[in-house]
Amino acid sequence: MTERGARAAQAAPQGLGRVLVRVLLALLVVLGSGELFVRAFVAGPSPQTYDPDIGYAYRPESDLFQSKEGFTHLHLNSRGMNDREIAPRDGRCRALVIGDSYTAALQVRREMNFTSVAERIDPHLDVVNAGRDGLFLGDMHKVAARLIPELRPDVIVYVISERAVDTDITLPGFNVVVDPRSGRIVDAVMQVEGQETLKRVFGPILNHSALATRLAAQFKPMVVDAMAQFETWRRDFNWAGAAQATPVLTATPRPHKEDVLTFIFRRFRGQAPAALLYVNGLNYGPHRKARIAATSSAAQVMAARAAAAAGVRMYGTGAYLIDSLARTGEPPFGFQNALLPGGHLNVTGHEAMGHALVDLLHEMGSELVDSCRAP
Amino acid sequence: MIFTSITFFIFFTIVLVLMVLIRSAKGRIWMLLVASYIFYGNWNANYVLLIFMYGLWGWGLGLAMYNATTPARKKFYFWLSVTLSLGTLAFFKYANFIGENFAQLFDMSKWQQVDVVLPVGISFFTFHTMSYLIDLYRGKIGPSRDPIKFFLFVSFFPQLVAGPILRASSFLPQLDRTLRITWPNFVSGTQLFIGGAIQKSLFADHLSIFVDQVFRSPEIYSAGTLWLAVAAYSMQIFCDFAGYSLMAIGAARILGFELPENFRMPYLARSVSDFWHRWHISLSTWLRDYLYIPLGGSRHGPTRTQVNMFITMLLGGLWHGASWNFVLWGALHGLALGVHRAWTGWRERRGQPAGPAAPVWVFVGWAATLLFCCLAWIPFRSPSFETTGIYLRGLLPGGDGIVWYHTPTLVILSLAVLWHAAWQFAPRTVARLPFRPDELTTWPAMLTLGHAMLLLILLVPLNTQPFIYFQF
Repeated sequence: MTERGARAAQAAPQGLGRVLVRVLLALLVVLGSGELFVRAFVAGPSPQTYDPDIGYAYRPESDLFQSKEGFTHLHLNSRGMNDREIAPRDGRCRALVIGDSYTAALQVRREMNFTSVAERIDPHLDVVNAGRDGLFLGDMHKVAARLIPELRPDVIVYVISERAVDTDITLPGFNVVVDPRSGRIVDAVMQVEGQETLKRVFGPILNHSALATRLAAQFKPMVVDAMAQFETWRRDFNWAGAAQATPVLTATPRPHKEDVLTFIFRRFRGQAPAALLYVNGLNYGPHRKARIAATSSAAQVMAARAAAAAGVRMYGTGAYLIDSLARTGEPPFGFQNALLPGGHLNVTGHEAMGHALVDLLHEMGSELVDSCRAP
Repeated sequence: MIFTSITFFIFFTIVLVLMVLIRSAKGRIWMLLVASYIFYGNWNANYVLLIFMYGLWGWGLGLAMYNATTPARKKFYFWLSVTLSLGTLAFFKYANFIGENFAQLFDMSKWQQVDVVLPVGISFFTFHTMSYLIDLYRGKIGPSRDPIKFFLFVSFFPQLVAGPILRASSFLPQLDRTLRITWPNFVSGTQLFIGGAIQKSLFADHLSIFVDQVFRSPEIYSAGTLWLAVAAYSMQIFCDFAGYSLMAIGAARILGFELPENFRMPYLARSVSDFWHRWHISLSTWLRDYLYIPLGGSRHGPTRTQVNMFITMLLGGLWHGASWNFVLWGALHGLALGVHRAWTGWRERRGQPAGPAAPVWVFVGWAATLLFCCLAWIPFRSPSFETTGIYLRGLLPGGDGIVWYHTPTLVILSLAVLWHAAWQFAPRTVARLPFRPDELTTWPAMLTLGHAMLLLILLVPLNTQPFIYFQF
């Protein structure tokens, strides 16, 4: 080997090593700036923790930042609720509010959400917000069962919407168990999804890294799509071991939606005095006018029949939301950085909902303890 | 299977691996043809037969036309091929439109809708086939004797569903040389693909969230919101289509093919005529070569030229979709081109120089062109004439609609302004992209590409939107 050749042979691995180090450093810089960028503009680390009963819950004392709808920094209390610490009731009427993302209200500052608005309107109310985004209608009674012994609420208000009563209960993962002898519904539960299991596995990383949380959220639908596509190919080409298409309905006809809702609402009533607050969807017209959306109205009628059969009071919020739009000119749903109108309740919507909640509690007051009667 | 899906990523990786593994040139062409049919079949397996038939009659009738012994026979084969191509396009795309309008015009009973799904990209592969047959008829090119190569020309997957529109004269010769993946092509093709994905996924898809909502019910929004949505849609359709084209060009380059440029910063155009030299270039040149010039072009006096231009743009509008809104869009551009031509002619007659105008006039020309093009997108995007009317009325000040200034849209439009400004005022900086292979391990390249990839992954909207031009 010539001297030049030997030098080149020596230099090559050294050069390659340098390049690799440089690439690695660049990767670290990119990932680091990615973490900072996500924390500053997109979302914070996941505040969720795996919960075997309801899929996931918020971690106690965690911080939450989101910019998907609005732009909020929230601190969750020691019970993982988007609320202040639970204070002694001091003769106030305690209402426990359970619901999905409309109740969790992660899109507005805590003082602006409807449970806080209700406390502001009527200082005799102590409203505890136990909402969690994506909380399934069939799981709400589990949340109530956990909190009742400790909080001893005078009334529990379940916040529901068209999606909860019309769509969610028809999902394939929602199991309605029927007693074959009597034909009566004995259970209605949502299977804890595979993605929740993923959250359990990757939870520790997601709780500390905003970048990892965002990447997990981004990749999940793509991976699910790709898996579905792969499965389609397997079926189309009849590959060995191809799974059969997942049936949307089980062999046994699923009970009617209204019967399922009646069963779920009866569970609500069985725990403490309960009421349902229905969040209406709106259709908007010119000149800042709106009316209740037809699908929302139809779902409300069905839910109302089920509530009546279960012996639970149900209140609509449509009139409050429409009135709010007429008064303020601002749609109750939506945000400048997301959809407007559309999506979750904004500050205007929470203000209207707060009034609806207070009126509900005042109307129910006569049936409840003294502290809950209207002043 | 859209370019920004993980399915396409897997598919393309397999194609690349096979390109490397298959050693023979013929084997690679076969593999690309099969891959193209799989790509198309993934959308609708039944229509693979349709695209195969296009290839079959394009190739067969092309050869028959070339070998025809008499001009009459040559003409017969030519018109047969044109009728087959245009007839199929008309059946799938315009049958219901024509039927409904005839029924309405002659007060007939209600038109019975033809229950047919519009094949994705049919307008594009019809034009590929027609350009080959017309060029062959004109004697500009020789026939493709190898059916596999011709079938690949018709169905080449990177540009199959939304262009750029290929010419046989530029694509078929590429199949005659050795097809192979090279490192420089891989590096630049990948960067073009990433650039296109950023335009599509970061810009167009985020803008569509705002645009779709506003165009769905323009009557509820304020004038300011409607103006913002016009600007947003103008940028969305550009980023969507130019992004797709760039990804197509990038994917093709990785495989060793060169596709024609399709966009050249159209919103920097200084006149409507200039706009059409920058927007969907492969379509505008197709329309020029195969419609405008056969109609007579500018050879029969100014009036006839104006008429030819108007007809070309009208049909160009109709090519985009079976709706009077597209016809209106085409007509508006036809009229604008006519006005521009008349204006230019008038200036020339007054002895004003045809060279660059004073900066103030350049600015006025650019602003007027931009305003016209943006407003012309309203009928293009609106689902009906009625919506177009509501939208245009809403643009006038004085309404009391909902005020919505979508923050991501404002950010994206600001970035788009910077991007255009960089292109206009700092062309040398822009020209540094894509990075050359030997620059890849430099800090600017690593950080630029690393951050571009990261932003793409982080900010792609979760519900990926299909490309707008897929519907055409």
